[in-house]
Amino acid sequence: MGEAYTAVLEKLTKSSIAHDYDPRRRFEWPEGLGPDEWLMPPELMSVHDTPLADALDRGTLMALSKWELMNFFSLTLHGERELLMVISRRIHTDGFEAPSDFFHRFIEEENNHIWFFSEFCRRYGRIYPDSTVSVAAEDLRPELEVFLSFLRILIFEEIGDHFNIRMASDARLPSIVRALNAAHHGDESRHIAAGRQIARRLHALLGRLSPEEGAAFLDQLKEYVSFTVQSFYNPQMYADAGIRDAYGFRRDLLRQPGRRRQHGMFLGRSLAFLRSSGMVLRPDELY
Amino acid sequence: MENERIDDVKKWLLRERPDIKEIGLDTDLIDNRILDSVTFINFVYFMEELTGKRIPLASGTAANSLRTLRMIQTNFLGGVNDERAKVGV
Repeated sequence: MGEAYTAVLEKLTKSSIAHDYDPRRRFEWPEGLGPDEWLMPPELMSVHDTPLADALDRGTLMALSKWELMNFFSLTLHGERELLMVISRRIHTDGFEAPSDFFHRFIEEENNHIWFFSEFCRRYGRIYPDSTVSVAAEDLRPELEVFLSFLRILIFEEIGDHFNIRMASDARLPSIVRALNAAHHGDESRHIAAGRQIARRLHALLGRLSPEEGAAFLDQLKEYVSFTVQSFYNPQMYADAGIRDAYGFRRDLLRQPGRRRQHGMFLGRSLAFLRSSGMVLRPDELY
Repeated sequence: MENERIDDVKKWLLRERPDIKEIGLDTDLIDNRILDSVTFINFVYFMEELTGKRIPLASGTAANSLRTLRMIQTNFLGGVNDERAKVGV
């Protein structure tokens, strides 16, 4: 496993160097975006697959499309700030010798993403504040804590990639929106490939979990998945789109069976990986 | 009026955690895991709805000011709060 693991990481590092770009030169930023353009495709919006979408007039739906994209890019850039902290803590430390070269590229690419997503939000809307709050959680042994932190990164990136892939090729969206999603997907596909290797490696080194450890691990993973999914329902974006009772609207959406179906789609790849790798036996119970 | 609103807060918390029978005024909601990261953000939205004011979370100060029912009463239901949570240059 060791040699194959190192070889995959080296290959991904080389691929990253071969696909290097300067984000400040790569994109052409239009003066503005039209009010009648979809920014988040309707099928990816938080109201999709619910009767609440049908009750919105077209103007409100288009406005919401804009603010949902601002929320998605804001979530992405805040999430990437957290990823940088996790990776920066591990680079060139014991046990992380093999992925450290890749981590250098990872840090550079994540910094680029934070720049271009923040640039988009500042030019055409605004950055929504980070709503992540650190609350007390049961202490896990260090190896399990590290494994969980890399799984969180992987799940976060795979959910984002579900959106990036669809938006990168959606002809209804402005070219700058497609271009940012395409650039992000290109880099994230390597991060996800590396993340899966690292997660498998850390899982193999964990040894057997006691029933208590297993339960605490699943509780924390479930909490992370729920928090991440619910962060797509920022009440501020409903208010910005002109929807009255933004908080009540959010609560109603989260109760819709159609939304659970959509969450299953966002999480599909992560859940399949968790199941096939033997990390989680019943991943459908995570959301 | 103030007491009614703190009762509403307590009712919301007990509805979220039916396994808990009582929450004291000084019970730490975070250290005692009455709120986790998911219920915490929903609690913040509930408090915003109740008070009609945004609660800025980014600094972490706001989260600390929501730790106990007594702190909530002082910081959010007594008309004190506002700009104290803001840090930066």
